[in-house]
Amino acid sequence: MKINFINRKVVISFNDKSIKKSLNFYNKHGVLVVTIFTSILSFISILVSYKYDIILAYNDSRAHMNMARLVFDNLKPGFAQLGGVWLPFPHIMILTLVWNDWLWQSGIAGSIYSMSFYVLSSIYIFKLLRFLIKDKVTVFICTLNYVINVNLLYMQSTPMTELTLIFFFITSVYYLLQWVNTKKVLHMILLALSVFLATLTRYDGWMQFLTTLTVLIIVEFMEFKTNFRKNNFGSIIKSILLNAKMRSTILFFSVMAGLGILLWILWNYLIFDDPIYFAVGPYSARAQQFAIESAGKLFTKHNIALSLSAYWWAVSDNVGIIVLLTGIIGFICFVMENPNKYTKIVLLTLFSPAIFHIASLYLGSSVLVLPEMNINVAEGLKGTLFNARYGLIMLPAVSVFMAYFARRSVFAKSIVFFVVIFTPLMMLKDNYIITLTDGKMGSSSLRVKDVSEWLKQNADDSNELILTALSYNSALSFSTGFPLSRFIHEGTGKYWESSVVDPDQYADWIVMANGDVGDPLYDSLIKKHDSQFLRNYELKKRFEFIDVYVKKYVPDDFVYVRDSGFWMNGDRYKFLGVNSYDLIFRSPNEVASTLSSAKNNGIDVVRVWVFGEGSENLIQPEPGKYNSILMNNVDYVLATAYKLDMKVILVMSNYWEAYGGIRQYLRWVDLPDQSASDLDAFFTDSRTKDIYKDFIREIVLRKNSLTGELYKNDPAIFSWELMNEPRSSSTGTAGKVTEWIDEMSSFIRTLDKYHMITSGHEGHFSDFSINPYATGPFIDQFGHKSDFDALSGHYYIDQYISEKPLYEFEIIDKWSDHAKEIDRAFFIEEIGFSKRSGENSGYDRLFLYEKLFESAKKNDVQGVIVWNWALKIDDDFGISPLDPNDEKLIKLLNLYSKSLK
Amino acid sequence: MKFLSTLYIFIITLLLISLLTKGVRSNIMPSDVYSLKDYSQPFELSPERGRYALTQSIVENHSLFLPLEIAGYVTPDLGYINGNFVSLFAPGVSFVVIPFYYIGKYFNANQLFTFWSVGLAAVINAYIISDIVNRITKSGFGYIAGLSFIFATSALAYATTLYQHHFTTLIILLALHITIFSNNTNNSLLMGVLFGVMLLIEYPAVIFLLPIILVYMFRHYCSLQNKESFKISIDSRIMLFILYVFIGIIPTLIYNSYVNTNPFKLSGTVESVENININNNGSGYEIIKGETDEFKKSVGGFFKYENIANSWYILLLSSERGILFYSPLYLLTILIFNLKNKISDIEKYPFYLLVSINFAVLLLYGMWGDPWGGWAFGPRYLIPFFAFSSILLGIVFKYYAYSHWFKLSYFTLLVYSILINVAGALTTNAIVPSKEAESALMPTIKYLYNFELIGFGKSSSFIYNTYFSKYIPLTVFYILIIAIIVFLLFLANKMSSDKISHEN
Repeated sequence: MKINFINRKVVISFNDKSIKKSLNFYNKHGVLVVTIFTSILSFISILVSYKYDIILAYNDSRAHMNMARLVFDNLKPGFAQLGGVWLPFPHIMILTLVWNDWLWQSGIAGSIYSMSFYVLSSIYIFKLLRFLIKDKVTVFICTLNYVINVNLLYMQSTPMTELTLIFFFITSVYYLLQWVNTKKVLHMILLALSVFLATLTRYDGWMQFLTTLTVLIIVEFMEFKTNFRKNNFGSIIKSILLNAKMRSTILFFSVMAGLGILLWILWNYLIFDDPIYFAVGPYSARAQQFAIESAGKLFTKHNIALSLSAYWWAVSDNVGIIVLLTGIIGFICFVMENPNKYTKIVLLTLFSPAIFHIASLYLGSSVLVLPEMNINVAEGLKGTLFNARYGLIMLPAVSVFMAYFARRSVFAKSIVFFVVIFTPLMMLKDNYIITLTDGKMGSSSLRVKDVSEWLKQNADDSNELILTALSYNSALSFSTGFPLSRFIHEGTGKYWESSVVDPDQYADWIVMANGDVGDPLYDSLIKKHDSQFLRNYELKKRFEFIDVYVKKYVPDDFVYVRDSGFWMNGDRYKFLGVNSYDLIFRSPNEVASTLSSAKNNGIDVVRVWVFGEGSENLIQPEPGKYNSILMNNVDYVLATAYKLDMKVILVMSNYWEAYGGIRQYLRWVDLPDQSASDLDAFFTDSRTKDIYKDFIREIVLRKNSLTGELYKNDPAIFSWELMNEPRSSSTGTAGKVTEWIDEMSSFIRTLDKYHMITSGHEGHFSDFSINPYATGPFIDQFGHKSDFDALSGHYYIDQYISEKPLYEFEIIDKWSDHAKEIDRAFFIEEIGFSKRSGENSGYDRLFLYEKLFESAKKNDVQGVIVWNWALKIDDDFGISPLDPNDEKLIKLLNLYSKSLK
Repeated sequence: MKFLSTLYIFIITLLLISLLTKGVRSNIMPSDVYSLKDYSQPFELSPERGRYALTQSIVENHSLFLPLEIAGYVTPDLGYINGNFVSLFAPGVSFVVIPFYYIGKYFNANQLFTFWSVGLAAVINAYIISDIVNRITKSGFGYIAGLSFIFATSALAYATTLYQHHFTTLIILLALHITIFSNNTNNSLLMGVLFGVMLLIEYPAVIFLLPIILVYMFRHYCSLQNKESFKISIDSRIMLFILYVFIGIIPTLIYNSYVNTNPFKLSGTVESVENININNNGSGYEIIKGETDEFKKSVGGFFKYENIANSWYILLLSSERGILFYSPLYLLTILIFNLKNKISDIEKYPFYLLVSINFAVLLLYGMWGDPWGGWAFGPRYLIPFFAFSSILLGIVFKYYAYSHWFKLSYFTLLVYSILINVAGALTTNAIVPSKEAESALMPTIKYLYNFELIGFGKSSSFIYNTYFSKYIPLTVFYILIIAIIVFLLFLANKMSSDKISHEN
């Protein structure tokens, strides 16, 4: 460039040669120029996206990364993890890079391919335009329109599939055009390959296959008709069918390009036993749309006007309204002027994305929401924006057709050039990049960051498994950064199948939707199985859309229920126990001897009564007043049990009169206490309940005077037992007792999170099979909903009627079957046989105990507590280590206990 | 003869506009304004109040800041800065009409004369349009084009009240005239002055002026050669021209500096006042503030690309402001694109310029967040667009003048457009936009409301209300005006026919 000053004029001269040289370079190496320019733009875009942390703004982008990663980072790795809904090609590509944790978590493992396809698609747009439009300036302007579209630049920075699809879409149009004009086999092969890969990328590609095939047929027919002289319609048809060239073209393309569709259907059939699983399966778009339609929000279904409007706005927001209008003007020019009929038909395939999306919207298999539609499918901005990016696929069409307007004159070029530059600048100025807004704020982004951050901090133990539906929470699982092998999800086979029913076996955490929004885990655990999982899990954190549950934490050495059994420290805890009901009234020496003798003979659990009402020498002489000596005795029992590594069941009240019982409660509140029906009032009167609760509170929150341990933290306690043998006066009032049990269980739970709670009920069945005189409550009415932890049974011969011999212990079978049926833990809490054989229906006591333990083993009963262990010798049900007559029995107990270990 | 005919046409035009001018016969003081804010009254909308307020403040109080009694009637277009009330409008219009305020004050009609000045500007616009068309096409079709602009568009409704549009249009038309027809650089200073005045009158409109200034600059100071090598010659006197343009900015900078405390702070970006509550004893007042979003109040925040689709729909197609309903005559402008290969070289140059400016107008107001123009009659922001389109229409008319279907279409649409726009000018501009709740009370096709008012005899015309309302119904008055306009058109058509036969 030269600048001269001549006659008051500044003359700027440009070396014509260098300008021409530059133009020649551009003319000869246009592809190289486009490659370099778009590579720079691509690189800048990814840097900006990385800096502002928007590469993975879309939840789907994270799901795509996961889809690839799951092939190897999984509880059940394998290619089947590629799934059956999203087409596999993008994930196969991402698979090559996603092994690297940084590439995976940053999203760049997917972005790299989007970026590559952005550059390649730009090259092909340039080539397509250069082929169609000879005017170089127009080609430059319209290529520029494509490459600097801000939505395209953003999407090419993400692992989404748009750029992959657009690339194959453009190449298919380009090679179709080449084939039509040159008839070279290579072009047909590349055309078929483009469509083949498009069909394996997105379902839009299937429409591309259809439109391309249709165009091929039309072109072949037109060529054929041109060369065919006869006008007879029948002859024409016959000749078409016999024309080898036409047949071979159509056949070749159909097979090669359609192979992708065929392979996908075959894949679905092989993996999911359903060739159209992708369309009708539980994770398909149809299932997703079903949930939306149920909420009455699938507005475009069967509404052609709204479907058209929706897609119009999608395209307008992505490419820019003025650019779109310029494209429409260009299309009108194209229709009016282009003399090449083949080109006209081929370029109509550029509309196939529009046809696909409008049809999908109309049929209700797609959702598209833009702010201009004034529709809100959810709250706030999120409900006004969904899948806005679908309009971006029409950018190639707009770029091509606007060329037909631009080439008409220099003035038209100027207008188009201005529009092309102006639009992205204004979009950037207004920060109105619709695809980015959709990713960040629209319905395409469920805000998972807060949940994932919380999980990172609270669920970071790599040994713990997290149960979640990846079809709903893929983005969330990705965002945690945890290895995907920590997740139990739909693709993990038995882990998933088991966990959606009873997660307790594998899952330490559960992450699921907190509403009926289509989360399959919610559908199973909450709706289908009635929230049974809450027995073993507690709600740890509630977020806006997600709830996080954690397996209930039990301190070391605490016994807890899991999988219908007792556990401690992660191992099964089956036990032999004894009742020693009056232990708290014994001296410390006797307590120590009683417990140590029991322990030495294989007994691990002792059931002790810690109630007593209405007398000064009982534990609660008056309401709220407690006998400190007896309380200290309880301390001693617990301290000793702890030293001996034994567990204690503390019984908190008595239905019967011994030691006061509920009758005393009634007397305290001036209620009658004589008849059985009078006793029902205990379970309903608020005053008796308050006195009871005060006592519970006193005990549960008590601090052991010897060990300094709070009872609620004491591992020596096996469980809190609400009452010894609670009963109702009639079957009609059984519900009141059940309600009382639930109420008091919940109350204790508020004081003590970890110890088990047992009800103390006797295990009568409502068919009166154990006790024909039973009045309730019945074990088969507790079901799985009650708040206490384990079912119990009390067995005494005189209460039992059976057709089978007594020693077969039919009742134990019945108890065990029932417990398994409702999936609850069960133990025999009281069982004993008299020393007087006449009271055992003639059977020897030892024999009965032998048979008892046989039956318990056969039924895998979790615990047996016999009645009654004490040092003193009696002639009744007692078992004493000091009684020589009990020696064999005690050995039997020992043997049984060992067999449990 | 031709000169006399031309004079008759534009004098009659001015008289017609005078018949429609909104006003009352008396010197309007601040307290009077409050009683003139109803439908079909001169101060029915805030833009006229806002501009009038500054004029009144300058003349009566010799201040650029608005005293409390004036500020009270300006809300919500009132600004507040450093304890002073200021107008949120660019001050240019208020300055330009000061002489008319003075003259009017002498005749006890300050408001009436002030408003009438806009009509004068409108007539001058029509004249310039006709002159441009006649000179470009070497025909007499300019008269029809000029009259179409005045009577067949919303230009008429805003020629009778105190808005900026006709002053804006006047400046652009003057600049256009100079650019197209000037063969030397003698008008460079004038171009700079025009630029400066435009900046004072309406900030966004300088964007329309810029292409004209650039074309003027390149036409007179630059030349291109592309023979042996690519050369651009730039006359060094271009610096003087650029200097004139920059000097034109100075008055705006001074005004902003004094009133808004910052030379670069535009009037519309000052913190606005929604309302003023005066204490019962009149000792003080409380201001209720308006829009506080800084970005929305910034220059960039007013214009957004995403507004275009909605704005173009409103301005072009909607029944409440669209050209399709208010001035469908201008749809015929599209025929200009069919003439691209037929029009002469001298016509091509303004064709490109006008199409570019029209595009700029549509683009700018497309991005504006309020295409309705608030409560307004028709697409008032497109008045400059109508002016340029009238020139294009004049060119179209020349080439299609002998086509009967074109003439039929043209005059049918012209009469329709006149009927609509005269109804608006005669009654009210206070037509609520659809985004406000009150819109539900008006007909879907908003101009029907104006016809309702005609039926009720409710007019804003000073002449009618003062001299005719007792004798003839408004409907008759309306028909009389239409008849005079049709007569004018007939006269214009005859003049164009005479000119053609004379040249033939």
